[in-house]
Amino acid sequence: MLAYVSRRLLEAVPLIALILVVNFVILHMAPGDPVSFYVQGGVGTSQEYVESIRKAFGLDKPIIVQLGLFLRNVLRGELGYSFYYRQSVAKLIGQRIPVTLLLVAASLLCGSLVGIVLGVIAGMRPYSVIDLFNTMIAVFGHAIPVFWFGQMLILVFAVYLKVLPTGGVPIAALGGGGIGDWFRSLILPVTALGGIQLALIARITRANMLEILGSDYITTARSKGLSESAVTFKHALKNAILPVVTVIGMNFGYSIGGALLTETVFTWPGLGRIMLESLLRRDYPVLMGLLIVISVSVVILNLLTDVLYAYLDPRIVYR
Amino acid sequence: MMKPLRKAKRKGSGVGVLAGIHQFWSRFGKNKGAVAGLCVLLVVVFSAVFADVISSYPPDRPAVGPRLHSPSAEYPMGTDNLGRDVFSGVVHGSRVSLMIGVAASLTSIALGTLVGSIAGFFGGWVDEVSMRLSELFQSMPRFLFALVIVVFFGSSIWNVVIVIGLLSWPRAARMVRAEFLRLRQSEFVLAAKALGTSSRRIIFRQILPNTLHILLVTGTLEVGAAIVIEAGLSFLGAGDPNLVSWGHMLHNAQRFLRTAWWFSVFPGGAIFVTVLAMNMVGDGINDALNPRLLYMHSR
Repeated sequence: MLAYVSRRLLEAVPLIALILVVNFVILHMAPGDPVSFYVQGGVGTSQEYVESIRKAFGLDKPIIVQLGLFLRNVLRGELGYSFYYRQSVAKLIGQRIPVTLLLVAASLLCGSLVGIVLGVIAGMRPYSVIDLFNTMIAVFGHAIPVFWFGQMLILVFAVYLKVLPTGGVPIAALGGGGIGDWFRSLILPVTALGGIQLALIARITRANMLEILGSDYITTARSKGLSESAVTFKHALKNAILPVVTVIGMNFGYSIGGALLTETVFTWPGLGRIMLESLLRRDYPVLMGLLIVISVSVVILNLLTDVLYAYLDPRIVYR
Repeated sequence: MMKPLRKAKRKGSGVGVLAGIHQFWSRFGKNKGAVAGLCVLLVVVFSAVFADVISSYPPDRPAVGPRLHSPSAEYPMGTDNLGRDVFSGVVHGSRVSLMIGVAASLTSIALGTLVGSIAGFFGGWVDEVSMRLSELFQSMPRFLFALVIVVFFGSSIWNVVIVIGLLSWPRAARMVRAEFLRLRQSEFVLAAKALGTSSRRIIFRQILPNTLHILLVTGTLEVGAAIVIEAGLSFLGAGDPNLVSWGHMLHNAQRFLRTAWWFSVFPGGAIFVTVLAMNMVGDGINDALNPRLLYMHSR
């Protein structure tokens, strides 16, 4: 087990390096000059000024040298300097990470817990009223685009009922609001993002549960005369939840995409917002920093998921 | 000597296919949600094909009516901030969504099946490399990555299809691989191996048919997912600017949430209903093709 974990850890290093190089190459292959975005304010900007900017950010050097500089800086924990925000990328991202993480973690947690419970109940009683109800929630939630769901939540709870704020943290933060304000401004975004998670997890848990309950070893357990609850909870449950572990781990990356959209709808000042602004302004260092932070956290999460999976399921032998 | 034998075999499997289709339909028909979903999809396909006939105005023509007019007999879904007819936009938007959804799903399923079956069957370094590759694709969250590529390389409809298709294969690949990992140790595969059956034959004739229900269901889900991704890109203003799409309408509607509910309710509702129908059809296919469920039906 320990050998497996350390081997996977070692494998993650070249994977992360590859991700960095791919990100770098793609962003630099794209058309558009970052310098022109940096000096876009001044129409009559002199050529010397443009060149000095280019030099200051190392954009005049060959791409290989830029890549070398970039990798060296990343290893030192320096992610560069943002053209647009005029501050260090590491600092900028560091400021926003907790805001996005709060949203993503709360949604993932709520969505997974509710989803597993719904899925297991539905799988145990297929085609019952409860299953129909659960399937409806799961299927509806899975089909709703997160941003439209967010818009509808705003329409109902903020515009018509006027019980919750439309916006995210800034209202609470600027007004010096307490925990209550933060909690209130979290409810709608977490419902939007977590609802999408819930749908996927409930659906997969139900499908696994159904499949397991139809398998031979369950028939054997039943024919031994075991009670239905012993069959379900002692024999079927663990095997049914097992693949969900992978789904939750894989869902982290998906949540980040959803978070970007959710943040746009609810004016949530997290990573998604700076991602969008730096995309429009071709702010390479910020984009790069964001992709690095997000990619690396997803690789680590996948690693943890794999290890957890190997620990939970002794049938799977890793060579 | 061999010829008549082969002929007889083919004839037999032909009858089997027909009976299979009949059985599929009778099981599919039992799932009312799936049948309803299929009906909705037919309506969406119809409106995509006959968009020009159904809609009252060209979808992008401004000032066909007053600005932000609430739904009425003249404008059944109201008008937007430039006085464009929302109904015409919703009808034309179905073209973009269906096209992108189906094309992107086919791309991702084909790629995913190829990678997943090879990785799952052969294991070892092939499996390692493919899974690391799929991790690489997954570590770049596909929505963000699609956004980056589309913003940087242009947002034509084909770019959007290719990007979504290329980024979506890991899901199918992992599902297929997991099924292969599970099945390659099973008795019928071991028996086939013991009989000296070639790897290709085992993959395509023994294991892959057992993953068909997963592929079909994943495929229909991917259509829905691709529609949602495209809508998300357009919602952020990164879709094809020359096309009227549901996501782009929602992008415009975001600023008018407080004053014009119809502006966001109808285009978003169209995405929701279409994806919902797609998923229900997928569910129906799952129920109709998964033989293990027979047990549940008979109970």
